[in-house]
Amino acid sequence: MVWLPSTFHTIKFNIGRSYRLPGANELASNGVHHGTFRHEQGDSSLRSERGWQADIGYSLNNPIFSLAVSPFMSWYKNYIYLKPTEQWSVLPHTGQIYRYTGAEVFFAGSELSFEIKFLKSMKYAFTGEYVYTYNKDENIPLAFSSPASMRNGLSWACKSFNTHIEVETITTQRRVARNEAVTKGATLLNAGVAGNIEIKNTTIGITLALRNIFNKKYFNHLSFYRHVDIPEPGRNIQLLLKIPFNQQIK
Amino acid sequence: MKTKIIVIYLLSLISVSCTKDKDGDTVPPVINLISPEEKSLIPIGDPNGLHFATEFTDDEMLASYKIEIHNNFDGHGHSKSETTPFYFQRSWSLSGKKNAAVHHHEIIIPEDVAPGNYHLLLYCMDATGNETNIVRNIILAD
Repeated sequence: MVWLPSTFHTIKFNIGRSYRLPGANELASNGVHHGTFRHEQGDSSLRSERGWQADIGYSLNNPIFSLAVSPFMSWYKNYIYLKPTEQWSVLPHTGQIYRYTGAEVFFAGSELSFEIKFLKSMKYAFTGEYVYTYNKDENIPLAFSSPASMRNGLSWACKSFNTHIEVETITTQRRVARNEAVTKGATLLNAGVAGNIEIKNTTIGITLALRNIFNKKYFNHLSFYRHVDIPEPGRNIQLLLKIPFNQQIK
Repeated sequence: MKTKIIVIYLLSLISVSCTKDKDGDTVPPVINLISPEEKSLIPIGDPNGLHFATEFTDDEMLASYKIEIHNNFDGHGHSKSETTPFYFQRSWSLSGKKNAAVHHHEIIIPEDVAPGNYHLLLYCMDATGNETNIVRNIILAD
């Protein structure tokens, strides 16, 4: 459902029902998963996962200010996840057995972004996101919930040249599931310049991007690399050249 | 118009914060393994068994612990050996306690096992399935 009250505003509303059949691993696996080092067990009596979703999107656009907010929520009666069973596995190198189990869960979150243009060619941009997860059967959060994060960026553009600097903030994720480690947050600084150069009637696009300028060691809460202590990329510099081949084929 | 949107947004946030019951436990228990110590020599075939001593603590309630001993032999040979590597696995209940001090000699290492480097893994979980483990290097010697 979309509603356009005026030329500057857009409102979208969406409600949906989802349905997913359990996968083969969720029904029949039984053994050590060599990525997670856990004894994972399927359950052949699992029923299909069904849920309701709702989201709202609002955006405002005018020449100097634009804003977009998109809150969402979803609810599942039978969300399939790996639950610790409190029974020791008899397999070597393993702790307890984890079994695929259905639970009533609730997700909610929102993204927020806005841009302000000022001093003719300057622009400030903000994006932020937050997700809340809740397992109602256990009264705990769900595994792999992304931490709240935000980006504050400032950019300057002049003709075909632009430059930007951005501060990216990732918060510490303390809302963890059982046997999931807390991941510490980080603040990163990114910057870049981009421009076009005209050579013999071809426009060559050059972009230089610097990411994680302070060489901060940080981990991604959603990455499997975190389990084996592999951090995200350190300081990195990317140079991109875009050369179009516009010759007409005769 | 804008205020209406903000109201909807705030309502959605409130409905999120209302669903809270008592938070579930996600804090794993803590193990303080006293004996065997790191790199300690364990005599093979000792009738008194391995001296095992540890302390467990949990913020809510302990459930059980498990000991596993497996070999850490580097490389492998193809000649038939007279001895077989030692393997041990067993679990014990700790239920009903927040703190527990355990001391026993129940792990007997039989005389015919291969000497060498072994790992002793000690796992502990609490009543809701929060789990922790520690690894200790031990040496089985004749």
